[in-house]
Amino acid sequence: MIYTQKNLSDNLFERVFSSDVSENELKWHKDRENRLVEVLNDSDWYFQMDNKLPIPLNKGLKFEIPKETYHRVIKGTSDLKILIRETF
Amino acid sequence: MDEYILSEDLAVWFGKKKKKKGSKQPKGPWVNICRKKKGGGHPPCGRKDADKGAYPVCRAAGVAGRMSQSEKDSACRRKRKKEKNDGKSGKGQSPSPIKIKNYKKSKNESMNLKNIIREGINNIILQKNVISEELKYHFENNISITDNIFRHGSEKYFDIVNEARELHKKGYSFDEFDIEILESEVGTFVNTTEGKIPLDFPFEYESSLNEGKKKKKKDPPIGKPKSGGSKKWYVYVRNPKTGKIKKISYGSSTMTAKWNDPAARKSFAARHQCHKKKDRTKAGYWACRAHKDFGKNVSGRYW
Repeated sequence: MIYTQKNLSDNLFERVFSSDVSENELKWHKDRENRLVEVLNDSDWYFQMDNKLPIPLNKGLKFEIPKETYHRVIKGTSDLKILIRETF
Repeated sequence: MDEYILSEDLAVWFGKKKKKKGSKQPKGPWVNICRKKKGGGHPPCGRKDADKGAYPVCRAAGVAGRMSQSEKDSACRRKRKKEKNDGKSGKGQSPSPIKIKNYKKSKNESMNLKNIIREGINNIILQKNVISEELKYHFENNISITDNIFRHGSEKYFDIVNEARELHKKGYSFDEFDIEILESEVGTFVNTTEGKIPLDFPFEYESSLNEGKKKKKKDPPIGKPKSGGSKKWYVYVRNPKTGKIKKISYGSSTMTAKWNDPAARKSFAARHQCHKKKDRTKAGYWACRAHKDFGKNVSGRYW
């Protein structure tokens, strides 16, 4: 598993990406649901949407990932903790 | 004479058996890295009809998994180029083996005179040309064109290659790996009856061509409870007020349902006030009716 997840409710998850994860496992992918993401800790990880440049995942950053859109996270040196809210 | 014992297992090569702990033998089976399977990975090495298609470029699955997409592209391009140079294009030819490249570049490459001159020329070319934010990002972060930051096959991926190619034509110096891409036809498309096809680009052609034709993704089945999810069961319902689909997870995954025990059933129904649960968008509605969906031979009314 590339992350550990705590289900806070049906559509609210707290997810932690470990710094031990291999970069090869963090692939471009799409999700079925729209997602609202909030970064919970300071890290040197990056997030990248398709056809856009990567953005640093700083603590407190909130952004939306529309469903069926390619995106990926780029590994940093520390753990990354995020809050995900799924909407249909 | 030195004795060399090869301790490799043929079944591991074919992916029929897991390799032993500590074994250096790569994980099988061998796959064709120039093709992609739908849903990820590569198809097995070899072709059903040897007269159709190009010679595959095969690597053990374990090795393929460690190669980046650009390394795979490079291997496929070199194979095709070697076949062309050896005059082995077309049917009935023997394969042209290619050398395995060591893709690791030395990180602390010393700045010799050649590099200083190269950098100077590059700076002059950059001053004379307007470059995109995206290509600038690559230069500023020392990301090569081979390691393109954009998704392999995306619009920006090809834009970066084409923009870098223009700079290369104007004399900007790239490393040998980048030049290999820039001197290929990556980023060029041809229009065919089946759609737009990228040249020199190993790609999942079928799925890319069909992408535009794909039907709109179906909604999940509404009102059909299933096992799994974050709790014991889940069901998708449409909220009549908003028209949106909502996923409802319900049922404790740590407790067992005692539907065939009348006392337990009565107690559950009373505790959860099942007779009042009429809103299909609430977990309670589905929890009170779970016996209908998942119970076996549950007789009588629940409450």
